[in-house]
Amino acid sequence: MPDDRELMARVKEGEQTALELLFARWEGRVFAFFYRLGGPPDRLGDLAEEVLVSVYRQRHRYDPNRAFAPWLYGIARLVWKDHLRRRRREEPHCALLEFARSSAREPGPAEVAEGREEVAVLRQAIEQLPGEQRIIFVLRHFEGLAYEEIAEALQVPLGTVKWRLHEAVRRLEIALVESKGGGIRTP
Amino acid sequence: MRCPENTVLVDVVYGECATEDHGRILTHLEECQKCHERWTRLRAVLAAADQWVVPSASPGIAERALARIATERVRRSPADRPTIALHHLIGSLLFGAGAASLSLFLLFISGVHDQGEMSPLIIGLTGILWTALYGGVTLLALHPRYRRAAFAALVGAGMTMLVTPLLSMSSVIEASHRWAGPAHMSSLLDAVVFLAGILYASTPSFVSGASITRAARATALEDATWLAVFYALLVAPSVCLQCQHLALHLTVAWIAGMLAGAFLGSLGGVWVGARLQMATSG
Repeated sequence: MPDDRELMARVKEGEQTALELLFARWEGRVFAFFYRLGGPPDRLGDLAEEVLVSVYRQRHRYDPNRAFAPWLYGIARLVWKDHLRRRRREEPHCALLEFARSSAREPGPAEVAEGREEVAVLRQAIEQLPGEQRIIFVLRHFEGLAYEEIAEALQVPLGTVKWRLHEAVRRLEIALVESKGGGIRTP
Repeated sequence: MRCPENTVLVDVVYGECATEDHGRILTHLEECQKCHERWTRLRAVLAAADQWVVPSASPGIAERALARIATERVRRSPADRPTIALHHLIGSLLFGAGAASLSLFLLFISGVHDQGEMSPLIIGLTGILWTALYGGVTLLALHPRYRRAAFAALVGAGMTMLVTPLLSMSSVIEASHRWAGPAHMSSLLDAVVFLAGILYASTPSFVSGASITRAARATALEDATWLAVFYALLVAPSVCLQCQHLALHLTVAWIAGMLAGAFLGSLGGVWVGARLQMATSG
């Protein structure tokens, strides 16, 4: 199975099957990335599609000597920021409403029934993390990027990545402790 | 061992801790009740995050992206289509005219007219050609593919022209004559002039390439080639004016040296720029 770098090299040469394979491999992960960032459900597909199209448009800028995932998430982050900017411009009240909705949201019946209150609390806490902290936590925890890869994707110093990740984890821990009245169920 | 900070525990969880520290911290966690509780709490938080299930991706994302790309290939999208706005064109021409005027002025104060009379027609044609070259490279700087190389070439050519009054081609060739000795052996003189041409062009190419391009390693060769080509084009009028009264073999040696120097300097500069980029992003 060819890796992403090899596929991108073939995409640069104009091979259609490599492009299809690459997109099939990444569409779910990019969708999940935006989902975990708190993207609106009806826009997740569009955002993921935009990233894939941008990957193709910017294929000549990709350096095959470097990892593919940081490069792709660098594009995804720009698409995300663009989405947030456009949403603020088009619907100035939208972010506030979403924040209020998110703050007021209680764990759903299914989550409670399955004993997943902690998951619901965590999800809410992640959605309330500041923008860059949320992206870094999602990239490290869910997408498995190394600190250095995140620094490369976001074009920020390594120390900034570490600090923001530590801060994000600290906030999540506080949220979970508070939701349990001071105690956490251990796994 | 002192109790590790929470930030260190996060690094351990994510495998971002040095191997030797990793073992020592895990040993400490087994021995220290307080740290063990912190560790367990942290693991619980991250384990809860792991339980967060993402719904299946909406169908057809890749297919829609492929369809858009296919459409763009047939009918290139406005974003990809090279368009030149009128104000960019006018701005580039104005910049080109200004740069060309300044370059001609610097050439004249360097004493190029002392080597022989130049007709107003030649000066006028050179000015027009130079305006077109400066303006054209400035326009290319608007294109994502050539942006880095075009900017670097403009800076490199600017440096070369600014240095010209202090270090003109004629003074370099005179120095080469002296260095080659009284015999003035043609082949030795050509070699010295060739090396002088390399030095003359490689220095500004290297500096501008290193300081401006910040290229990715994969595109370094391409960037260096474009930088060398743009630079050579931008300094070509100056070289032509300064070479017009030189012997043919010296002109050939000088131009060959400058071309080699432009390419080698650009390659070295872009390579250093890429290394700097890696160091600063790492």
